[in-house]
Amino acid sequence: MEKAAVKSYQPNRWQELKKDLMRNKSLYIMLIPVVAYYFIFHYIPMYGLQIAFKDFTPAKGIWGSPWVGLEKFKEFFVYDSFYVWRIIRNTILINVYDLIFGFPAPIIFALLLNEIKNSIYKRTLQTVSYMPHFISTVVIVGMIMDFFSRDGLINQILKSLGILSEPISFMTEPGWFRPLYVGSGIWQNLGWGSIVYLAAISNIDPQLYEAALIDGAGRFRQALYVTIPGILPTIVIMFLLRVGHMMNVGFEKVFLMYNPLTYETADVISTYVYRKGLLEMDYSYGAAVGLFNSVINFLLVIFSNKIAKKLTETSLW
Amino acid sequence: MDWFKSSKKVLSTILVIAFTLSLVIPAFVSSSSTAYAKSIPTLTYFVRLDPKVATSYNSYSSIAAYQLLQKKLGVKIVFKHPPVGGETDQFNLMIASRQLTDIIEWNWIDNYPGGPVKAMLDKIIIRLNDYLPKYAPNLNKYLQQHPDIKKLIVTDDGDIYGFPALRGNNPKIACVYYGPQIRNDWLKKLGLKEPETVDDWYKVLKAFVTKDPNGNGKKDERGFSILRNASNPRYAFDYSSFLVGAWGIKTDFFQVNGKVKYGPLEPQYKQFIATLQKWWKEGLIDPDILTMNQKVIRANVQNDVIGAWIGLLSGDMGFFLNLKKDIIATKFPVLKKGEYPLLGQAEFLFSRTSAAITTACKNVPLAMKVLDWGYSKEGYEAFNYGVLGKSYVKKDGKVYYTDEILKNPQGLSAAEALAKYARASISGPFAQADEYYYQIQMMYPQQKDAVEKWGQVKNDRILPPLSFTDDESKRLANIMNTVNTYYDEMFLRLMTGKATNVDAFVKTLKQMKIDEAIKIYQQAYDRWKKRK
Repeated sequence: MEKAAVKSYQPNRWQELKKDLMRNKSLYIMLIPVVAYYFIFHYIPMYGLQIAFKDFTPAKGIWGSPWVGLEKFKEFFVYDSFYVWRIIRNTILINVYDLIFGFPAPIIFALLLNEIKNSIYKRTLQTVSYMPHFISTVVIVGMIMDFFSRDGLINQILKSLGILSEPISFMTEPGWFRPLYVGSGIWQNLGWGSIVYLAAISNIDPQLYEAALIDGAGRFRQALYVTIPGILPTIVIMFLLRVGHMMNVGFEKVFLMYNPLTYETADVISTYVYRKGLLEMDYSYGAAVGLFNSVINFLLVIFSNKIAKKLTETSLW
Repeated sequence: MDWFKSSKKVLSTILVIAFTLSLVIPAFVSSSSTAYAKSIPTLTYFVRLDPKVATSYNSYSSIAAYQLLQKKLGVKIVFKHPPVGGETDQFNLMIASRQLTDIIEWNWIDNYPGGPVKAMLDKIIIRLNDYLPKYAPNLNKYLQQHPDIKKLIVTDDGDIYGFPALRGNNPKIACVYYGPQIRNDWLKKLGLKEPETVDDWYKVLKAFVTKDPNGNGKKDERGFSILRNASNPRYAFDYSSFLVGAWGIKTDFFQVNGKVKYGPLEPQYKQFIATLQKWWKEGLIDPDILTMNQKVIRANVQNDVIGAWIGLLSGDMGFFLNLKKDIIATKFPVLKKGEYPLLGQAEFLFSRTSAAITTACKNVPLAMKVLDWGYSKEGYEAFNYGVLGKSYVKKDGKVYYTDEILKNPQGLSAAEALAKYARASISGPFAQADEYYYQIQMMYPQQKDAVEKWGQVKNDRILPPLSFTDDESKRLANIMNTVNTYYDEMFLRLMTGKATNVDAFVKTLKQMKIDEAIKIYQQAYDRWKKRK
């Protein structure tokens, strides 16, 4: 109420802006590179998106290529229907699994870490858990391939324990692709992902724990009734951001891990776009599928944000 | 104190200026150096970096033959090598962004969607016919003397678009370099004869995996594997027609009496798949070909685990013979004893790769001159033999590679050692010499024998390099991209018995409009037959 009253006293907006600019000069100067970055690298390239609606050939360039409307989308959904549903299904399933198993893992890890009182042990554990995050994907996949190959570590362990008689070819069984993908993803991001939650935990008012203690809550109950609600807003925000990437699976890792035998479960939108758009030089087609993918992502964020707002009162906007 | 202060100020100012300049100056320096270099014309040249060169150099400009070329023609060539393994990506990005080099060496027939005709329509590369007589007299003369080769390298309209990489003059030795190889010591130990028929192959492989030929007491033998092209077993069969050729078909397009056919649609294809399935089920095929790890397979051959494989003459067979492995080549299998194999690995003298001049080239005559050099006598010798007295010597008018090449002191293979001086072991826009094949590709008697055996095939069912019209190639790309992804996947599933229904596979291929693709191939083949 008061704010609105103040506003009416202000002269006009331009003067207001000018005054603000003068007052916070250095802040605005610092803002310039960021805005420029987004403009140059995220907005200007958008004009290239039009090739999704054109029959693009390098000879004619982006402007010169003829418009074909939704032809490329039709090609994707109608002519290539054999692959469309498979890659959409794979993309969604990998993400759903990642959401179910991968998303809670850092939270649980952070909660467990929080319970460790010995600070040296805790730090060591933390540092060790960060490590995989810094290994490049190529190396990670190389390790997966070595460990899970037919005469790799995992098969040998299983064999020596008598669980298996014949080695499993993990890398060529379509059924193993998703577990391996999601599992290695958890291993990779567990420690790193827990940082934000640990930070949130450290922000919780210690008085709340004391109060809970006086009320007779044990450690488990403290975690359940104080820690989790305390970091819930963070969880929701992280969840929303994650949903925004629902349709994007890390291209690199899938690309390195899959092969024709596992296409059935491994081929995702981004790898398909790569094969079509870049390897087979159907740039328009690739752009069309990529655009479709982004639109879905966009809708997912809006949708889940709305739900989150209703359910938890925490949201991105 | 004052002096100190001011000097500090001066010093810091100087430092700031120096620092700023150091950011700006390189731009000046490089521009001034190009200004200096302007007296020497420069050409940019996109070509993949061959691993044999990569063991010694990171650019083709270090190869002695190219240094000679640059000196003789007074030109500077700047090679742009895409990262190994990322060649296609890099090429496609270059095309899309139109940051073309002056010269691009590429397989325009298979690796540019739509082929060379489309590349010219897309204004990527230029038509050379008008320039040829004037600026490339050597190639022009060569093509006049070899009309059969000219027929291979032109488009249907008679357009010449590039300087062809030629495999020498003798198809008997130059076009055969990939085929079945087997452990001779294992055969002897088990008292087996060199397999000839498909049944022989089954018996031999079966004995390999059951009778412990490597004598380590373990049942770790694997019968059959694929060395080259392990990354895609289907492609390995496409490429060599090993096994599938016994039924007189290929796994992909071929022709019988002028009629184009597609392997999977032929009735014999079922028998081929059934044989593969049997081999797979009984553990005769190396399971590692599914994980596509060529290194592991190679190590297993080295460790006496694998009994037979298809691989390269020099890169694979030569490599193992160097390690004193007792291996021999076998003929391509047939159905009945004494039959003459219908299909095996077959290549044309033109290797499908050409160095083309792009629309970005400002000095076409110069680029023509540079590329034409490879077909001149001097260029032929430099590209094939390297440097006289260093990489080769002449005795009684005959050429012999030196010990530095054949018994390299640094432990390089002959092909790798030669790659430091010449391009013969890489192929390129010139004709490879017979001496290269005899002295380096066939250093060992087993290799000579291999060429002899692999060469014993009819191979009259193979399709020549065809060229398609713009519309045809668009439609073909549409169909074949879908088909190939599906085929890659299904081939492995069929081989491993995860899918057994060939009819259902064929039915899906038909839904994907494979018949239309065959028709397009037929049209292109009919046009090829009319080529002059």
